[in-house]
Amino acid sequence: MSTVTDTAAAPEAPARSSRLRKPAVAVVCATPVVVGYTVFVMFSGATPLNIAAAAFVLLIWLMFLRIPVGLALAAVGLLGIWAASGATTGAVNGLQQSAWSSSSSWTLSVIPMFVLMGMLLERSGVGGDIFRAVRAMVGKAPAGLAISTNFAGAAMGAASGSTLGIVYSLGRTGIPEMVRAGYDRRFAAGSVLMAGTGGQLIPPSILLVVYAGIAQVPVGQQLMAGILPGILLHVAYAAMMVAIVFVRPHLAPRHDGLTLPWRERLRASLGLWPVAVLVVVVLGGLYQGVFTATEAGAFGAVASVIMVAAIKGFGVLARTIGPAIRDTVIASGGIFLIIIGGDMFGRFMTVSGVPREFTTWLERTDTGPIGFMLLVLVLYLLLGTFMDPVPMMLVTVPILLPVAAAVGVDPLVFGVFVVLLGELAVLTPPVGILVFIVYRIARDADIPMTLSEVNRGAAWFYPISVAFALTMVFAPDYLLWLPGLMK
Amino acid sequence: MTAGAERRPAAPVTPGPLARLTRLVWLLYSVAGGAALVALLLTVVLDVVLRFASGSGIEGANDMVSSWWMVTIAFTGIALAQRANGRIQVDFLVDALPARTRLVVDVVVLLVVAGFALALAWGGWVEALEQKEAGEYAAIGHRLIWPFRFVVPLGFAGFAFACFLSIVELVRRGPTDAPTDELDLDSAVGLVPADDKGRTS
Repeated sequence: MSTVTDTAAAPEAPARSSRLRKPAVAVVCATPVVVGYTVFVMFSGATPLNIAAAAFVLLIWLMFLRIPVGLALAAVGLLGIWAASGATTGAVNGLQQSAWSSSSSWTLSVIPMFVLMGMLLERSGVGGDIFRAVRAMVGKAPAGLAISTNFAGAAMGAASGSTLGIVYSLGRTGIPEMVRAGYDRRFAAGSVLMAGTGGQLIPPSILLVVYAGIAQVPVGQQLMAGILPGILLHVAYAAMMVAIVFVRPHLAPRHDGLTLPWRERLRASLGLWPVAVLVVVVLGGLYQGVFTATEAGAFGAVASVIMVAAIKGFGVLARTIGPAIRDTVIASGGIFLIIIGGDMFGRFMTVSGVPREFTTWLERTDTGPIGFMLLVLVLYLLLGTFMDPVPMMLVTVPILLPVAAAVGVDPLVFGVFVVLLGELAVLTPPVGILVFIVYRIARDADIPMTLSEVNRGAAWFYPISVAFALTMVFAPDYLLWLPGLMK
Repeated sequence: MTAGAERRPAAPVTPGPLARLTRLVWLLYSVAGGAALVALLLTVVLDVVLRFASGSGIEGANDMVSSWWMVTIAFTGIALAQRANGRIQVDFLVDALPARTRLVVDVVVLLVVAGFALALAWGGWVEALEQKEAGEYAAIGHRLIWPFRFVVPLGFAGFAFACFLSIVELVRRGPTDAPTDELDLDSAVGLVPADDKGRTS
């Protein structure tokens, strides 16, 4: 793989680097001044709002310098508490207690379970079976390959909470095949990217769990609220793909995909049974009220172990389970460092009174729920250009949620809304992780894809996601239908 | 989402007493974290099975999950994630720097990060000592909780240790123009264990 790394890095990165060189040097040279000035403002007896503004500047600066996001949040949060309260007590308390209190959580214990479930299925190759099954079932259709990729993303989203994992396994097979079948490179990249993003709304979803943890809403209900929009989003992407083929026929084949006899199709569709089992165990258990979210996750993980052994054999299970466990611990550690930092930053936000000020301002300007949601939409699209979804939610949700409640937005609706918008963050340049992944997959397969082609591919489908987010602004009630039916 | 941009694999530490020690440290963290993950899974499953079979589950299962296993997973994971460089971070700006400046920035940033991690370790240590003094235990089932309080300082100390190792590797490698903002796909999605790449030694 390392050779691939080298070839992939070669063509575009140096050009980008040299273009950024001067600004980068300027940022580094300005660092002492900016850090010194923001800290000075924070401790110069400024109003809480000004302290918060200085803290945000400091936070973004530290992130640009590659300070791990979790630690940047923690450092700025503790500094902010000290500045806003005028005493070190709160900051020292945070330093001592926050790490423990935000990690020793029953609610968040579902995270390692969901991660383990996905890791096992991805690493053992069950994800590939799911892809093949969906493709056989979709058969020939306008932009058939792209549409199968899209729905395979939805199916895999029901088995794994990892957008990266889904995009990786779909992209490795999907992109080369689509390009070979005559798809425009941008179209191929865009369809793989979108196939992955909807997955975060379909449980098991790590982002929805993290949100439920911050918002203190029942995890089970929050996960249920994501199902319907997750499925509808994939349907909307598929519709967009068909529309593109009809409007611009040169971008993708009018009629492609696998044509298998029905008997073959049925046989291939058996590849979907792991998804069916997980849907029954995890979602069924949650829906019926048999399981709490953590229990559903644990039984989902056990089911994954059994299914990997049944489908791939004990040899594969033995090979994959150790690394899967280890990587689950690592992935959970990465998430929890951010959660701990976010907790400290959240304490600071409470002390600073920013949420209260924001609510008062919204009330004074008579902004209703729709105006508020539109503001959040714009805010997230902006933040998403340089932040990842988890830190973004941890920084903003403690501020926005009380406001959302004040203007009458249901916390479950708000959760699905911010997770959808957060997922768009991994697509937006300059720091869209998924964009880099797809670019690298294509390079890996010797496809001369450029970063800007991947970005443009994402941009075609981006409006669909935004339009979909708008449906949640104007007609949010459908999101509450499934949680309302829960026992 | 859980994994971030990746530092290019640095020159491996030459095998010696230090390398053996670091390997042992990461092995211990991995084993502790993995064991906690399995324990969490078993506790939850057994609790449900017992509840359905005999009407009452494991007494205090929730406390075991949150105060024992979760914190162990989180803090061993925090140290291991820093070592595997699977952390989430912004890279595009620092990558554009001239090689020598980038090395200096990287080393300074890692020093600051390690210093703050040590402060967090200190905070966790003080809190752990206080809870030990108080003999903290779970109300249901009377299980001791305070010993697990020490996982917090251990995790952050491991994090700081990982930063120091990265500094040693960076300095040994010297300045380089290789871009680091390209993701290492395999470890980003966790498809290849970091060991296979000789990065965890």
